[in-house]
This record gives sequence, structure tokens and C-alpha cells, in this order.
Amino acid sequence: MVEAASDSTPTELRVRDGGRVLRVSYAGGMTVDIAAERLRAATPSADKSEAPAGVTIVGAETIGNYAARFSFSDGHDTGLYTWKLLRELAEG
Amino acid sequence: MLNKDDILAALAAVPGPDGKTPLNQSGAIDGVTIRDGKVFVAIRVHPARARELEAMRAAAEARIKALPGVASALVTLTAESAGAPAAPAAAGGGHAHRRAPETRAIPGVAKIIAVASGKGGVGKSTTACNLALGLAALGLKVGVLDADVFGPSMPRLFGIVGKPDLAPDGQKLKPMENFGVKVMSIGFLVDEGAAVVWRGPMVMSALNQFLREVEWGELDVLVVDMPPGTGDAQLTMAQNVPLSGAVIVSTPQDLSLIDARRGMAMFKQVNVPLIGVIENMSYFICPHCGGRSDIFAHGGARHEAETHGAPFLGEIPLDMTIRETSDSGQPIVVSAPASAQAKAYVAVAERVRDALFAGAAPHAAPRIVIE
Repeated sequence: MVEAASDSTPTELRVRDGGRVLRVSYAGGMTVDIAAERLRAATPSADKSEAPAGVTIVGAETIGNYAARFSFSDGHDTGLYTWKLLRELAEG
Repeated sequence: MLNKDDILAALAAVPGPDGKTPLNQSGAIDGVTIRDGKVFVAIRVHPARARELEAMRAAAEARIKALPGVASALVTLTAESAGAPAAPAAAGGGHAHRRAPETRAIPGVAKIIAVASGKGGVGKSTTACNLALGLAALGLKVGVLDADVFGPSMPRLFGIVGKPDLAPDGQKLKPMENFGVKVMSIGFLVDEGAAVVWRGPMVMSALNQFLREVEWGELDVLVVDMPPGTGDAQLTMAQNVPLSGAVIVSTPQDLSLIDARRGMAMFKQVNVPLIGVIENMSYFICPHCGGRSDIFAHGGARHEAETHGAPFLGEIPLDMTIRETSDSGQPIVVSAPASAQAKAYVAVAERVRDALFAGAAPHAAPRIVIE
């Protein structure tokens, strides 16, 4: 079988600090914290409504084999964050 | 006769999103649709306020319902993009939030594979049917989900007529069964000649029900016959179940291969492993003279697979008996298991099985922890 772009698949997504931080872990030990506000600002959703300051992550779920969806405290939950996008955010 | 002005007048009694301007003057009403006494109204609000404005929505709905001549009323809140032109409202009442349900495995189903093609007419459903029977012939417990809601062909291919029963729990549907394979298709629920005329969200919800509300029981493999192309149904499957892999069916001619390439690109995009490519209608053996004709050229799918680093799973000839047995509901893998054609399918099934069960497990989705 051909694995597609699998090296960017995280092993764990951990919502920490009352939803203010997402900790993304990768196989091989790399672990990166992404601030909720930064994650919210990077939403790939067509709905680019501006987020209030201090927005937090209130929910997370996986979509298929390729993405995660986060729900934010401002009600925004339409962005599907692909593993590739998360990796880009993790790498700065 | 009920008209839009009546509706707007009724909404004058409801304070708008700011809590004081009457709703009909607030500029938030995005669309009013009246059909056979059914009224649909969309109100544009900032998504962050959807929850607190639920009372306003309910009040508006109650006001409209109270009007004479209104059979039913549906008021929905639609998202507004701050600063941007308002998104067109879902006329006819959509949902304030469209949600793709979370990916969950189906209990009891070990592997789910998609059989797909970039375009129609390449024999995908016939291949899916015989592949499923080939997997069953190898001793696996197999189910087939016909995801081609617009052109269901599994009832005919499996020779199954009738409607599915309710499972003992009274909630789920029992799949139909023939030749030892469980089958579910929209074709069991609508007449063969009837057209399913649906928008995307209907397709999504039907597929979800076929996945979750059918009593599949214990299965080693669930084979999903995808509709042709790269649309809603494909995306629904990729989003809602952890697909173990995809099999692409193509005929050898260039036009078909271009589309097959799109199919491969789609699965790559959603991170579904490619099990391999099957070349259907690979060659034709003349029943009269025994001469071989490469009607659609030959070897194109093998070449295409190699270009993408995907395994080539095998070639199936263009053959009259495959067509006849398919149309008559006696698939060749069960009606003539000793034939060369049936063996070709079983050989493909062996490769698919090996890829599914011998190879390393596909990358699992990450664990999600909310502290």
C-alpha cells in the first residue's frame, strides 16, 4: 500500500491550559505548543470571521485520516486543519 | 394568500439581534421562502452569538406559526462574516451549523475499503461486486455498501430483490444478503426506475445512515462501491469513517486514466492509502476466432500505477460472460468460479487481502486529549 503524506500525522493532540494551548506530538518525539489564538487565526475555513481576544479551544475531533476540527469559544468550528497545516503551524 | 410581507409584519413584534430594533427592520433577515404554507426564514447572525440568540429565533418561529395559513415554520440562524458581504443564506432552511460527524470506526467492521474510479462506465460496480465475492471466496466475512446513491447497481449485480427488514433492536436495518455477502444499497429502498434527486447534504446523511444504522455485524472487510468522480459522497466517506484503503478501477485508455489520476489525487489529499489500481476491460478475446484485441489499448493502468508508486492489482478482460452474469445477478466469481475470468478477480482479491492484513496498519489518527 502507498501511504500518503503520513509523516505529518500527529500522534496526539492535547488541549491544555483550559483551552488556551494545543500541544501537538509527533512520532519521533517532536512536541509543539500552539496558542489557541494562533490556531484560530490560521483557520482554513471560508468563514474568516474575526476572533475575539482570548479565544480558547473547547472541542476537538478527527476528520477521516487527514484532518482535525477544533471548536473555539467564539462558536467557530468550520475549519478542518489538515495534518499538513498543523505541521506548518508547528514548525512556525 | 400568504406572502412575504405578512411574514415580515409578524416579525415586527420580535426584537432583532441587538435586542431592540424590530427584526423586520434589523436588516438581519436573509431570506423568506414560502412553499405550500411552509415558511422558511433565515436570520443572519454572528456565529459567536448563535447560542444567545436562540430565544430570538424561537420567538420568530412562534410568531410565524401563529399566522393563519401557515402549516409549518422553520427559522434558522446563518453565519455572518464580520466585515464581509453576507454569505448567501440557505434558502429553504439549512442548518445554522453544518457539521461533518466525527470519524469513528464502525464496531465489528475490521477494514473498510473504497472502490473508486475517476469517471463512470469503467465497470467499477461490477469490479466491486466480484472483488467482494473474491474476498468472501478467500474465507473473509464481507459486506458491500453501495455508496452510489444516484446509480445504485448492487441489487442487480447481486440479484437481490425486496426491502431490508428492521433488525431485532427495532432501530437498525438488517443488510440484505446473497452468496454469503451482506449488501446495503439505496436501490433496496427506491424502485429501480426511480431517480434519486438529492442535494449533497441528503447524500451525506444517507451514507451516514448506511454506515451507522445498518446492522453490519462482524465483518473482516466492508467494500464500499463509490460513485464515479470526486464529489460529496467520496468526501463523506473519507471524513466519516477511517478508510483502510482505496482501490482505483480504470480502463486502459488515456481518457479514463486521466480521471483515474484525479481519483488517486483525491485519496492522497484525504490521506487514504492507495491499495492499488485494477485495469478493467483490459483486452478482448474474440469468442469466434480466439484472437486478442486491445480495444482500449493495454497496460495503461499498470503504467499509471507505477508512475504513482501504487501497486498494480491485476487486469480483468472485456468479456461477454462477465457482462451477462453481472446483468443477470449471477456474478461470475460465484456462477463460474473455475473460469479464467473468476480467477482473475480472485487473484485481485488476494492482493487486496494481503495489502490489508499483511502490511503495516495505516497511520492511525492522533489521540485527542482535552485536559
